[in-house]
Amino acid sequence: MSIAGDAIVHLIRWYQRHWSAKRAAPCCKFYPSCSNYAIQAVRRYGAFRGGLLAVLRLLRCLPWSCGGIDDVPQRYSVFYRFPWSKAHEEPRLTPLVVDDKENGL
Amino acid sequence: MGNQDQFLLDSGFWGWLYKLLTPIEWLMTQIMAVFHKFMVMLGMHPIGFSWVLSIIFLVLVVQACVFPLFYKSIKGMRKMQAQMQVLQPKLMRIQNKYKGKNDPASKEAMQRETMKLYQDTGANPMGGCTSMLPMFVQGPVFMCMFYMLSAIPYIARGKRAALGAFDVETAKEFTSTTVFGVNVADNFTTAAASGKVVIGIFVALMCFCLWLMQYNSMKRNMPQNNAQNKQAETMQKMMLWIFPIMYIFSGVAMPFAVLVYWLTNNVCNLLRSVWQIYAFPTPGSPAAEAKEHRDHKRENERRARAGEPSIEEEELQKAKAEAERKLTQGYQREQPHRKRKNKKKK
Repeated sequence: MSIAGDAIVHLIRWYQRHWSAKRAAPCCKFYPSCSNYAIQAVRRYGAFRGGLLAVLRLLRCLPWSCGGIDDVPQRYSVFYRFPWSKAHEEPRLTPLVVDDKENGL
Repeated sequence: MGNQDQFLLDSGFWGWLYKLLTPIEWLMTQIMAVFHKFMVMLGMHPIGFSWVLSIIFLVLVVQACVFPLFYKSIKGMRKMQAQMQVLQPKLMRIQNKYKGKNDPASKEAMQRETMKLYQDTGANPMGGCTSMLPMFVQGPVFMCMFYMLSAIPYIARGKRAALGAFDVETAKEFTSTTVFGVNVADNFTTAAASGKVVIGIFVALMCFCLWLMQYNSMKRNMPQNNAQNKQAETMQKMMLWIFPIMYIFSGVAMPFAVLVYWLTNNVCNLLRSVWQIYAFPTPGSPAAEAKEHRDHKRENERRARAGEPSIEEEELQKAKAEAERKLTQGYQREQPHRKRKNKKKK
């Protein structure tokens, strides 16, 4: 990963430790939460392309969206949420092995 | 009026939004003008209270238009809360499935399953779907009203093009309106001493309405002993003071016409909020308890009028029948009989 990618991941981790963890209750309507999603996306696709996915995810947090499971796609596409996209994935109930390796589990 | 030859709302950062909302602004000016004509027809002087009344009327019309949306969203919210109760056993099942498993993989699987459940039923406690819609409609509509009322003085002075029903003449008529010793185009800094007092009273009333609305919903409409609500509670406590203080600062800068609109609007919001807390309280809050009590009493009164036994009497009768059954038939439950078999024997 590039220096920029590392820096972004460190920043998000700092946010998670010092800001998000102090909240009374978790309040993200997506899974994985936006910060975890951003870390995964940046690790998988780099600072720029992953960052774009993360920004789009933040924009998806609208009052009329219902949230739910929204993983970083295996194949890069900005339109992966649409069913017609080749990168579209059905919501998974169990994490993939690839995800676990990336998260260091 | 100082250096106000240029209408700042047009050249400001949000100018494009106001431009986009022009059709609504046009409609509002027409409503105001028509109501003003009606008041003049009833014998009011064309310059004076008739304009203030038409501002108030416009607020009422707008509130009446937004109300159905608001009503729908409360209904939707209450429906979602009812749905959560249906969801509860399913959530319990998921929790039981992963009971005592603390490894990260099963924790994640549990969260995923819970999320899937929320997604499938469309009831996500973290953020309701579409329940915020009226707020999004209300915002632009009230922006239009604010814009229109601010623009009229500039139209009267010929600094801005005419807007809808307000051409230069009508706008001049509007701006020469003086009520309670304040001109509608005056703000706190330009008004005379008596006018300052009147504007001060208006701002104070506005603050009081907002404060009362928030205080009432905090005291009456918050579920008690709920850990999840801690955050919301601190937020509300902050809002209780921050918004009224913001009003004091912005209230000083606004022309009196805008203050009239703002106060009317706040009174409407207050009434609506009180009604909402009365009729659709949040489950578990003091208001909900009061509603339960009230419904119980009403049902009893209805039964008394219809000559039926009250709820308590009915319960007592049932308990008595049950006790009698236990005495005569013992404590064992009677096994179910097969009906067809008996018929064949006959």
